[in-house]
Amino acid sequence: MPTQPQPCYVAGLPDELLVHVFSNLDADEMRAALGVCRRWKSVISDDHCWKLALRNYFGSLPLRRVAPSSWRTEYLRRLALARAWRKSKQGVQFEPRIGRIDEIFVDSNENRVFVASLQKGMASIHSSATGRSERAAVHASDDQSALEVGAIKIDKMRVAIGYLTGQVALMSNIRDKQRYSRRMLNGFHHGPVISLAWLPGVMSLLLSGSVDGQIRIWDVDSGECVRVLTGDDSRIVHIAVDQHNHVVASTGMGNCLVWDIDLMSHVGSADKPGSSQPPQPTLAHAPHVQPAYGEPLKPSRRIKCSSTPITHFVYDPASSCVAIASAPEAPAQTPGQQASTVQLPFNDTRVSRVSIWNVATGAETVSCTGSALDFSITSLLWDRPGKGPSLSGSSTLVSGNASGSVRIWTIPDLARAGNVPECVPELVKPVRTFVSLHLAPITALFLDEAKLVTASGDGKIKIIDILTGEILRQLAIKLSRSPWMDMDDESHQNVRCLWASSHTLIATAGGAVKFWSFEPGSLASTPNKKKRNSRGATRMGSSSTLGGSRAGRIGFSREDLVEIDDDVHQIRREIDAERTELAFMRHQFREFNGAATSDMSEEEMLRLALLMSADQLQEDERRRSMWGRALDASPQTAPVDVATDTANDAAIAAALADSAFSPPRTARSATRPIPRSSSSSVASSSRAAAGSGGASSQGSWQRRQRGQQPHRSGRPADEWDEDDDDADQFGDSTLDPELAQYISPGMRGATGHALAAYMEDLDLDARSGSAGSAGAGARRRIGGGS
Amino acid sequence: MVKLSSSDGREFVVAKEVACQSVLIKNMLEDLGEDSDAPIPLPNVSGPVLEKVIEYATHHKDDAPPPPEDDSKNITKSSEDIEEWDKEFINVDQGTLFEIILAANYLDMKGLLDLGCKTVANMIKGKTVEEIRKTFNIVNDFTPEEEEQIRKENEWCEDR
Repeated sequence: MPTQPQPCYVAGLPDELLVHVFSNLDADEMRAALGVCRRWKSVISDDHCWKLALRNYFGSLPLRRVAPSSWRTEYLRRLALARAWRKSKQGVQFEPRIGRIDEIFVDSNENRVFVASLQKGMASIHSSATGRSERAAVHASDDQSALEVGAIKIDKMRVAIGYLTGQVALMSNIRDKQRYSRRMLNGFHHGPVISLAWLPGVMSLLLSGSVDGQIRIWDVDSGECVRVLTGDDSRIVHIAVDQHNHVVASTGMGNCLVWDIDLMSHVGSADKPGSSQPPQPTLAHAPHVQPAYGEPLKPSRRIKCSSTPITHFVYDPASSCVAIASAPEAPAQTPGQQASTVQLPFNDTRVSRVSIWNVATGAETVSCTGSALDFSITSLLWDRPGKGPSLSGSSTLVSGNASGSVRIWTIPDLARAGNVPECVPELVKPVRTFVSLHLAPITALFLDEAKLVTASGDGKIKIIDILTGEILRQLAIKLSRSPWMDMDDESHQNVRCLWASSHTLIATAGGAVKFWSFEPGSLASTPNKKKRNSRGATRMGSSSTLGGSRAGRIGFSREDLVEIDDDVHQIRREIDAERTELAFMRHQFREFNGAATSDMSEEEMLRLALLMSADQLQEDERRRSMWGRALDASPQTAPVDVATDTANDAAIAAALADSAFSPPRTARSATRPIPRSSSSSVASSSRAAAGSGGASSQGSWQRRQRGQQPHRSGRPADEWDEDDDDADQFGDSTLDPELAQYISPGMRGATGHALAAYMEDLDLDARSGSAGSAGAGARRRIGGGS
Repeated sequence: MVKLSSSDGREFVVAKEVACQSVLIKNMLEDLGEDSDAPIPLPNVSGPVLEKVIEYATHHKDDAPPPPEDDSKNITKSSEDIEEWDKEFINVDQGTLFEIILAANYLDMKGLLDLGCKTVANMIKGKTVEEIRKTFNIVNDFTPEEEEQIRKENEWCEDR
């Protein structure tokens, strides 16, 4: 029976309605629809269809395009990016061992990462693909006279250093051992140098700002100071320069100062901005340089941005606008960050200001509202300076605050707003707000076309799709407990630097740098191999930097000796603290034991235990609020184990002991805050011991550490999973067999002897196991170098 | 009250706020002025379809007006979340469905148009090419070479 062909209703739809239909499909479904018939194919091939589909799928159209040529590519690439970032990839973490990293510069073309630390005044270069150190760490000062560094600025070619003594130096060719040079500029500030600036591509110009309220303009080629700018007598917190002859600085008094000065007339005329070739090392422009820099120049404009110090400052040279965030307007509050982290947002009426000012006119062009709950802005990012305005002229400003919230504003076209000098600031509401995205203050932000990356004070990183606002990925940097880290300083967990490209992410926290590559198709890196390389190279690297002071192949550098010394002192302190802790535990235990066993039934004992654990809970709450959220929970767990250990000796049921014996400890630490910090160092030492325990013979004590291991440098850390945070952090209970390679039991020559002497210095009778392994930890570090 | 006249001559009397869900009728009313009693002719909409459209408009008369069209931050719901009532409403045969879509387009009713298009999209979702053709009675007008070409292109997309 011949069937009548059914009518094709869909053919009755005009093209624009078909587009409307298809825009509700996702990419795969559109691909399927493409093959249905010619008409559908031609409709789907229309880019407008993809544009609508993108908007439907992601919720909004992007401000900045990933692929400006076609919406179809834009759509597919965004999908691919989101997929890539969701895919689980292990990061490679390593430690350059140059102290807390404050500054990074990523040369994405050559896959290099320059990292620098103010703490130790050192810089080193690494491959962004492997984390391998490419060049020995370079020191900011001589071996003989270690100057403390107040500011550091890195570029592909050069590193500028401002010292706390007021001097300024420039290191060039740091990649090249032969041509590397460090040059101290002639002249100095009357206070620590805390800010530096230069123009990209202009090699001979350097500006430094100091606590003394002055900015000095340096001609690097001659090494002379060519001009001094004076401000408002408060510290120069940030400096920026542009090619419109503006020098902009923010000060501790909440001012933005602007000097109109022709910078190029002061430095060599050979390299104007835009000329790409490096300056010729000739003396041709030497006559132009005035030997005396004349009168200090007063600011041309003084813009009162805030009554409080400006904390964040992002200058956009193209629009001559600066985005600032100020410290909260504080009514006589406890100073310092510590106070603000424990303050609840609703108790705090202080408000940080986020606004954008035109430095050419001195007018406020944009005021960002919605920051009423932001009691303290801790991070600010503006994408206009790096990327220019988007097609519509708008740009994106992102702020992070001390309560872990992130806000995103779309800043309107500044060229338009700037044309009216006397206009009232445009009020802009946040287009998106993430309340309490992190549990700790936001410390770093990164934004590109597709994603926003946020990082906080607890080492956690989140990657957010900028269009959908969806959290694509959560990552973490695990912190090593290196002896040179000050354990009492909680800020070492801060993720300070953040950098990302379309498929890679680089973050630093404390002394550690971690790389993630989300390149599709690329196999997971082989971390073990890299680990060996990175450590070996770094160690070898730093030793060869100090070539001059090195006697021989196995000899000690001054640096090494200092490090050993520090380690030994640290270990000794920790052992002492541990011992007092233990003695106290024993005392407490004896007291409790007497009370408990004398005339209590089992039921009463249980009740007592419950009571005490309730007390402990309260105590813990109190202490947590005292020490802030950023505190890692881990340092508190190890001493409890010590208590359990003691209790076992007396053969009390483990469960009872566990709950009953921690209260005395916490009670004590609450009443005496100082020992608490020592107990944390005990924890760190004991965990350090557990980590290196593989080589030396270990007692049962080590095994009771519940598999707590410190994160060792160079070892890839597992990705952080929010659900079982703690389990993940300490889940790795097996010892790394590879580690044993670095603990060489038989030490050779002078190294062994010197170490033996140091080790004998330690009083190890009570804790021979742990101290021995801690010593092994120190030995391990040295062993790598010899 | 507003009188609407369908293509087959049926007249419908509806409340003004119901009729004004259609931007077309709203504009017409504004042009005609308040005091016009003449029925508004809708020559592109048949009686049964107009009935359905009015049913939809009556149910949604209290909805908030759609936000102004803004390319940068117009957050539309994904096609999965269609309200229960709407789902029931749009559960009609294909002929009526496409007529409703055309009517919604003609009357300029964004909500109904979205609903119709999403429903059609849901009919496409999760189906193979052959299944889609069968669902909509579409004749495959590709030559075998063209089909091979499309298959190749899609494979290439898959790899990325």
